[in-house]
Amino acid sequence: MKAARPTDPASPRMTLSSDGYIRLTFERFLRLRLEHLCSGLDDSEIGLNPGAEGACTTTISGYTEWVSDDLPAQPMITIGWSWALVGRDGGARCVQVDPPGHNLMFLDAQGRDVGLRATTALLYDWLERFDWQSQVLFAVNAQTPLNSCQH
Amino acid sequence: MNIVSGSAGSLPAGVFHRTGAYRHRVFIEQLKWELPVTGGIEQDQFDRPDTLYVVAQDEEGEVCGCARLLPTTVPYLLGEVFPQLMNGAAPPRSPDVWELSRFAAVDFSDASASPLRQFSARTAVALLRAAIACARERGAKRLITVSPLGIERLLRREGFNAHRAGPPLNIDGHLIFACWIEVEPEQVSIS
Repeated sequence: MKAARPTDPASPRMTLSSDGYIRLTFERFLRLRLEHLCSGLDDSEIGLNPGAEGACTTTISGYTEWVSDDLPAQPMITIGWSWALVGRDGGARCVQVDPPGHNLMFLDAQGRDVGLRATTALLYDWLERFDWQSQVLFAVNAQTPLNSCQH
Repeated sequence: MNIVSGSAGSLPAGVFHRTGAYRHRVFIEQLKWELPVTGGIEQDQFDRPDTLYVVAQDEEGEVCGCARLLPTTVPYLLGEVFPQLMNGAAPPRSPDVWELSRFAAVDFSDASASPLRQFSARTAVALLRAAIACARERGAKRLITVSPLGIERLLRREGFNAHRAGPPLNIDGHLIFACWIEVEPEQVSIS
């Protein structure tokens, strides 16, 4: 990765590096608030279920987008990921599918990049603890996914 | 599958015209983008004599994927039309950075292919690798793209070194974003 002006981990203001990343420590990221930007459904993927003659299965899946909550200030942190509705514990639940897309580069205690792969892995784990499902279901039920995607 | 690259004037006979018709089918007929059309060909102000194209063709010679490459030292799509996708940064202008646009990999001869799934994985990955190689040969170290959000899934799943330049925007009912793709050095195999 080319050299870029790293964000001072202690600095209160986020800046955009020349390579497009926003650099900060994971600990600082955990203290930020994210705002739901938009969510929506993928195009329907319907296929025949070979185990049940005449039946078909439908996969409900979609996307969700989140940004740092100091809108409309730039630069904005952006994180988005795919989700699918799956049966779990007798009910239906949204689960993330695939690692998230984002513009973050986490820094270690010495202010060095941890790398894109490690940053994405940290975000993937963080998503397990972040309560995003209710916002997604609300947005999808309201059927206004794209209209809210203005910033 | 066969992948060729070059300018409009250097592509094999008929390929440029068939690529324009393919782009019309993908971006205008199926994805409903509002783009300029000339005689059934989707073409805009960035389709110039110096523009590079990477085109995938199936065994029958039918176009099944395309990509467009422009250096950022001359007017290009993101810089001229979508600078707001850069998260407040100025659009790149460097011989090290090339723009990838009009990327599609729908195989219309495949009955199971859905045009809304713009990126059939096998063709898309081969086409993207070819586009990266083509840009690398011309000195690119990074690509910047303006793409539908769907391409991000492909990039992540296939392990490309890529990240967002900024949040997606709803433009004419489509979620569009800008994305950086690192042009990795060509791997040399030692036997």
